[in-house]
Amino acid sequence: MRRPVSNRGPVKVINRQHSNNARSPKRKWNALDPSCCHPFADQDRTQRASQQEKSIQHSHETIVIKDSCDIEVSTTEIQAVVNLQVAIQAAIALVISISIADDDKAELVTQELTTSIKSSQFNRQDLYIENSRNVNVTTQDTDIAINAQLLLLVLIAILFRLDIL
Amino acid sequence: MAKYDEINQASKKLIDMLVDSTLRKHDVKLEADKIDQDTKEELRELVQELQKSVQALTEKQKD
Repeated sequence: MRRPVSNRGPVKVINRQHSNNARSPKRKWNALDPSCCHPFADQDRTQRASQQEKSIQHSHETIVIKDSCDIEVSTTEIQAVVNLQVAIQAAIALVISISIADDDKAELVTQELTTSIKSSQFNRQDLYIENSRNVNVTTQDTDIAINAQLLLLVLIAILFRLDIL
Repeated sequence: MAKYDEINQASKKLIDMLVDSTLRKHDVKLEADKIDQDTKEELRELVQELQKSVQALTEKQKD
């Protein structure tokens, strides 16, 4: 009589552990499991993710030269342009943070100004030269350069309002 | 060239509107008196350097 009772104990523990895991947000969402929290149910996280996505820019450049001679390729240093853009963004954040008393509002304003400027998220350039002679190629990442220019205009507009320029 | 300047002016106006509307939306004002003269001078130098870098990039693209 006592044995079945003692067997029921561990079974209960296992069930409880299972239900705890189902509520955990890290667990993969399962449509057939009613205890699973839908990924879109957490609105705050979705908003945060979309804002983070906006601040990421990708640039990829591939150059392949095969069986060729006298080839001249000049490219814009994408990383240098991206660094410049990040520097301007940092300057905007700095100026706003020291000129607005409310830290939370300063962060919101900076985020809104920098995210609304970005015109492109992803750039890819592939250059393939095969069996060629005397070829000159110049590649540019115009989108990123434009972003840097626009961000600089934002910085200048803010500095004008602060009587710095 | 005239067209380029017109576009440039339009971009500047747009940026001005963007900055003003963003500040108004969050009900904040940029307080110039919060920044001391030394910091203002540093910021002036910083923006000049950034302007030079962006200009160099633009000229490189025009070539």
